[in-house]
Amino acid sequence: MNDADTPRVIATEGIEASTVEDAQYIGKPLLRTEDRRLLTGKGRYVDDVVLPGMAWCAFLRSSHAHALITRIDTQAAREAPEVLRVITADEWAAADMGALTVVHPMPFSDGRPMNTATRPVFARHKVNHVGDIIAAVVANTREAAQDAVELIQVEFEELQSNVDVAKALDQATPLVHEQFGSNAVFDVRKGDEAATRAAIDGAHKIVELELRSNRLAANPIEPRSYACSYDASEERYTLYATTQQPHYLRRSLAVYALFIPEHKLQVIAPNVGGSFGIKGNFPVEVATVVWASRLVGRPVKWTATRSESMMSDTQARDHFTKARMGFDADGRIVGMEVDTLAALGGYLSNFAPSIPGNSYPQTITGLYRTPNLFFRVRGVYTNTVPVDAYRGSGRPEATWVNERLVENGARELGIDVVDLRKKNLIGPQDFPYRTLSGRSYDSGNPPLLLEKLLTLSGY
Amino acid sequence: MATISIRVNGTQVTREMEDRTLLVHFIREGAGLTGTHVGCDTAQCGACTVHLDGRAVKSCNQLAAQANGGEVRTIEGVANDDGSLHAIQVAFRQHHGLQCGYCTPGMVMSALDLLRLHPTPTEEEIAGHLDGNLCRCTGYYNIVKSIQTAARMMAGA
Amino acid sequence: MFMYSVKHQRASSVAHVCELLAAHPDARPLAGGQSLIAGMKLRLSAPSLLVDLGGLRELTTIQIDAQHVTLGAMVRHAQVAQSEAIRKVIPALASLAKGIGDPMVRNMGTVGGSVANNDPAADYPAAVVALDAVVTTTTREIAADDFFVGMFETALLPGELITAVKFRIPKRAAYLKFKNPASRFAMVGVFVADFGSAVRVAVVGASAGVFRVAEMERALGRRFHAASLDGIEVSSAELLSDLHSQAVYRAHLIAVLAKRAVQSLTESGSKP
Repeated sequence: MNDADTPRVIATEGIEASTVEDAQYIGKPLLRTEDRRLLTGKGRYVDDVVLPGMAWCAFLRSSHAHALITRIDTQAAREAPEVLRVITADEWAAADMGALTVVHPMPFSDGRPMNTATRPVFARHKVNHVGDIIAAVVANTREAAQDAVELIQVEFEELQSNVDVAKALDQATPLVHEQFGSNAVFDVRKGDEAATRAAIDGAHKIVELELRSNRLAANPIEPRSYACSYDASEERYTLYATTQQPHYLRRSLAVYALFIPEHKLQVIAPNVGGSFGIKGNFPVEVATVVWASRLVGRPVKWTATRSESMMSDTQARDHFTKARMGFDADGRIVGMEVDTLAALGGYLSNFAPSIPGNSYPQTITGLYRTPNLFFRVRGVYTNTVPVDAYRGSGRPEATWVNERLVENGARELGIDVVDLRKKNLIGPQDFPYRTLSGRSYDSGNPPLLLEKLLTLSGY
Repeated sequence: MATISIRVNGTQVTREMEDRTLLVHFIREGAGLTGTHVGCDTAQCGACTVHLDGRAVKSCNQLAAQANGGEVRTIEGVANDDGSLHAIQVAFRQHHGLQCGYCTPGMVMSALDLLRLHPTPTEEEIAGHLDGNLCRCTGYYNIVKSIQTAARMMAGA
Repeated sequence: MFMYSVKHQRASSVAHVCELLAAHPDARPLAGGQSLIAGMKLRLSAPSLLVDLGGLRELTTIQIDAQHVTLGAMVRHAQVAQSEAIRKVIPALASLAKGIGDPMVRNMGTVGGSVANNDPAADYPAAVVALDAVVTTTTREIAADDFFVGMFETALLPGELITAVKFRIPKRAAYLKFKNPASRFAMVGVFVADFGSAVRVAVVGASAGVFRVAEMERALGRRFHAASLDGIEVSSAELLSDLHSQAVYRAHLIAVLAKRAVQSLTESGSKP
């Protein structure tokens, strides 16, 4: 291991794996084996895949954030040139198809199960965010599918919508899913409310912040794309998918959406053009593409346009937080209180509830000794695109809240921002360290890391 | 429908396609060269960058018909005839100038366009010339380094 | 991403363009396509026919004489940006062209296309107005002050095609724009041109279209110095508020950019 005093120089020039003796690869800056293909245009991304006789799928999406669907007429679309099939929620339901599933549900603090409205493959009766899928058209060409989508007539009764996470639980805010009587999805609490309140209220210095962690769209340069072919004689599907988790996707599709034996579906993830988490969950378009390949008896492909990506790729963050941190006169943290509303969108996506409900609290106290914690997060429905995992999912949100409080504490107390942190960091002797939010840090040396960071950055 | 004939990487490609076919679709589907990518709807990301009659253009933002009779060079036409990598490709690999690879063909074609105009570009000139190429993976730092190295290699050659 | 069906035809001459436009009322001329194709892909427009001007060599010339720089309508932004000859006489024009879009857009986009489109955030209208240009069409000559009539609207009549734009060479001029970081369009762009006898100041990006600021022109005409602009404010009442910027901020930017433009011309040592 390196000496703490000598920062390690990171090599920026790589070496060929073939030049390494005795397969001693660990620790060596190896040049990547895939680069040659990617640099000569020989990469294979899903939209590059051409299957014989391939047909194209396009989606009709809601342009309303919240509305009732009072009428759908697909007749003109069905009769349009080159159109093979038009699918709506009715066909999906008539065929007894399923839905994506929400893993790791988060309960209410009184033990009630969460209010679950899973993201549907097709919106039925109602749309709950801009981009919500109303219908799919499969046609011989991409252009014909897109042109036919515009022939589908839909009548809406517009409803009041709410896209502001901070207002989601207000009395006057319209409900996204009326059947729950509330926009709350779950309510997770950690720590001791009374003790923490007392500790902070009695503190020498109280920092109070209202923080908005705004909604993000990942936007990998490669849009999502799915291409599936169905072999009728063997009843097998071959799906090319922009996915980070092909096995998981296969299982989700087979077990929860399409009810087919898992071994009858092969999922191939070729080169993926960036994802950052958003191609990790089980989205709704893919189920339609797979099903359509059997319905029309030809391979079917869908590739998102960028505009579609912005209204259908799962998004991230979207928190509204009220937080407090109490400090003694020397700048030591005596308590931390966090109350977060976390938007989950118009429906629940795969991992969504667990991101604010389970991942977010894990690192809410950061690396700082925090003797008292009261943490509360409520997932809420908003008329926005469903949220799911993205780049750190939950933990960047936590670090930001934590560090903002610590930073403000230092500034308001007039203590050097580094010194205050040093005072509060847990030390090597404290590991394994059990945080009040329930997670254990198994090993580490935060003060040493901070010193290294200060040196390396020339602070 | 229109008959469109474009010389792509030295080979004449003639296809009958709808008038509204974009140059990028002619390249990807007409010529079967899928190295040129589509990343956006608004000609901002640059993943579709190719050379048309010697200059870099966004192939998603013009009709194939506009390039009829012209000469197009794509990422597939960058390596040397014997298959060895062009300096720009060597440099990108050496300096980890790509991660997922999706923006990379566009970056390489833009870089070549830059080096045609400025064989010894400053960092500012490199960044300016990549104005129309977006990357979501690398943070651009290694892309700039790759191009600086390629410029040195090409000047020294 | 996918445009409506459309027919494409390459024109063999300017006369041929006029014929086709006259025969097809829903036809549009296609210059570089950087705005038109982009708009069609978003299904914002759906002409029946695109008359491609790409083969019209007679529209690609750059002419420079003692008083004017004349750009053929199909001159590409990259040509203007890279022209040493233009940089010698109107460096602000070359700089303006250099700042449009990105290198790939500049290799295709044209002055005629930009001027005919009259996007409120485009750069060329500022140059046309500030440099007191004349727009030559297939039927007449139109003065800059008469050319831009509304948002995306010009004085061009149906079937009328721009063939050239003739810019007056000023004593000195500068163009500065505050770019929208994503689109690189002008949130505000200010073009200041000093002709000695008079000064012209044109603003783009801030309103429904390009406009002159008479008060600034008078003040700079009396004394060409940034201090002359002190206290001159453009009212935000007529300015744009959108998701990128509020009208008040745009008003502020106009004042700042105008001063900086003048400073860039006076601070190198030339007398005000």
